[in-house]
Amino acid sequence: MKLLFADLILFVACITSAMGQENPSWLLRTPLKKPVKDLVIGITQHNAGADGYGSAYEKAFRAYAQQLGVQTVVLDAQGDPTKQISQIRNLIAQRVDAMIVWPVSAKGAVPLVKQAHEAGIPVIITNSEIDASGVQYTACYSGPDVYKEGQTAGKLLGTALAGHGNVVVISGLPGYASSILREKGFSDLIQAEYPDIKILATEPGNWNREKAQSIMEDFLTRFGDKINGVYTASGDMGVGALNAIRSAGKQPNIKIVDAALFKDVYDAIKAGTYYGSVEQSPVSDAEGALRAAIEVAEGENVPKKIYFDTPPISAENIANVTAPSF
Amino acid sequence: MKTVLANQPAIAARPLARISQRFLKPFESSRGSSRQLISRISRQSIWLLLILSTAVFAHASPHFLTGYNLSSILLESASIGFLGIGMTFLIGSGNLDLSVGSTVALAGVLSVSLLPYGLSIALLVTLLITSLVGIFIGVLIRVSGVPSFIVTLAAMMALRGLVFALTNEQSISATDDQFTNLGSLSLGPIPAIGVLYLALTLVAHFILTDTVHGRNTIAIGSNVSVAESVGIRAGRHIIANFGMLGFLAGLSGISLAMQMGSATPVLGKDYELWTIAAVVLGGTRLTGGLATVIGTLAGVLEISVLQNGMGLLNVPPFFVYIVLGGALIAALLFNRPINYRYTHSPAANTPRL
Repeated sequence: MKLLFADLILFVACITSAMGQENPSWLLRTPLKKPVKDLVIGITQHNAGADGYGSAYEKAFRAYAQQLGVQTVVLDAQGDPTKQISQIRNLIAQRVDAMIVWPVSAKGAVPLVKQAHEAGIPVIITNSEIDASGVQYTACYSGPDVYKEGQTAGKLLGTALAGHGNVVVISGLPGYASSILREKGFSDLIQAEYPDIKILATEPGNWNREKAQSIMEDFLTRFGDKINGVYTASGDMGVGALNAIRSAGKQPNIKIVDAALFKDVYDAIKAGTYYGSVEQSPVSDAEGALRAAIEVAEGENVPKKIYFDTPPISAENIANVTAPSF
Repeated sequence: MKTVLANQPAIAARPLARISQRFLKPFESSRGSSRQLISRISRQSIWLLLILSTAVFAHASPHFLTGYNLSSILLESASIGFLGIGMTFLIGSGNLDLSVGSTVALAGVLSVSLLPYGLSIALLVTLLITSLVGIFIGVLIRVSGVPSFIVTLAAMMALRGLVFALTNEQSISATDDQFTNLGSLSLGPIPAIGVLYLALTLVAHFILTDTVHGRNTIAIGSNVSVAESVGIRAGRHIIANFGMLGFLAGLSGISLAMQMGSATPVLGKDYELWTIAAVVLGGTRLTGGLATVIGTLAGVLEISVLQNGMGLLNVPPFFVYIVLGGALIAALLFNRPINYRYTHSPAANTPRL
């Protein structure tokens, strides 16, 4: 009899822990439209295979889905906008409960996102925003606030230069929202809070390390010792700038800051050759999108824009940050 | 299904013989020529494969045989299908065009950027330019005597570069909603672009089997020097086929741009490979002299069904490539009797006069 009682307690304990697993604590709506384990969430990614951020994102997405017990259909557009529209059709045909779209082309995805919306399937945009003409057909955007990333980088560089000096800017690929907004966030903040910092020049580095290196070489020839700081829209380009500054022998004099932490930047900050960066975690990105998709599928109201935290990184707090895998 | 054989143009010169030949055709296989029977079955093997894969996916996924999904398969077939029609003629005449994917991108970008001048002007000018690009490539091949493989490889790179230069490496958005609406137009449950594709396939089938141009194309593919010695002007037909493929690549690019309401410089990436795969799967002989537009239709549908079905089953995308590669090798092995019967015996290459 005693044994039976113990068994019963164990059984109840199992049930409650299983229930805890089934219903994430942030899912406030009761009763749920559907048990979480019966939900099917589809995703079409930009290019998981080609870059480190994308593959870390996919890994985190799958792990979080498994943890929550939700079923997923994970597709990868491999950087091809036509493949992405065919994948959205595919997810509509499967009647998923919600779909997450990481737009390859901000404009190209709009007609199919509209079709999904009309078919009654909510669409969550992840990582980078869809064109303004398509926002009305989406449930929400979940991802980084790239404008704020630019501002955070501006604050870092302002602190590094103690509010005085000349900086040069290497932006991303022209026409890309994340490039434009990271640059705007940076220059707006510098203008508003550090009137004694002057932006000497801005050139697009196309997200490319080698391009950024040659731009930085040009800057050094043009402005020489006038440059006190550099801002690049991504860590990869920051490393390019660092290489150019090193070869010119100006390394300790010029402070470098970027708006997206990469592994090489992490190492350089630790080594003291690089001032600071902004952490954009693919794990937060993936988990935020899946959580939003589940909430939307269950019928909860979510804000139109859900941003995850993108904190500043410098020598001060680098010890508490896990190194990025890319 | 009717396949055009190399000996038909000569027969065309004698209408009576041609009619009797057509009349007797149904009895050919029953006459007991095992070789003919094998080639008949092997030419239809793509249809068997298509039915088989449809059955497998219908069994494996409840979402496969739904109206929405079938119409997406047709819609997605169309963009490679347009190219497949033109490529069938080109391969049938013993040529190849690797530049079609880049022409698709050029068409997409041109049609979207010309929209401010009016919808019909944008469409007409785009089709005109892509047709001229095709004609230019054809002329270049005839004048230089360089194999089409090399000339179109060069054109593929040059055109893709041009598209990147024209767009500044960015995607451009359609300013005219009518353009995007045309892309989602449907006749009943069937997408209009898919209907256009099926209609063009029928027209092209007629051109290939029942016109002088079609039969001469095949004769050229079978043996250029023999074709020219009986008075066929090979250059004209080849250039016309390149022009036609250019026009169809224009249609493909426009239809893709309409579906996305925008055009990107990477549009049509790898399409030349998919198209050639579809044509060969369909039973057209890669060395020319034997071509079937209806077979190409099956090849195109098969590729679409595989992509769609494996997507529905959540199979990683690279498996689609593995399966298609396997299917292509199987098709080539299966089609060996057709592909090598003529090339191995010189006598058989000569049309019977």
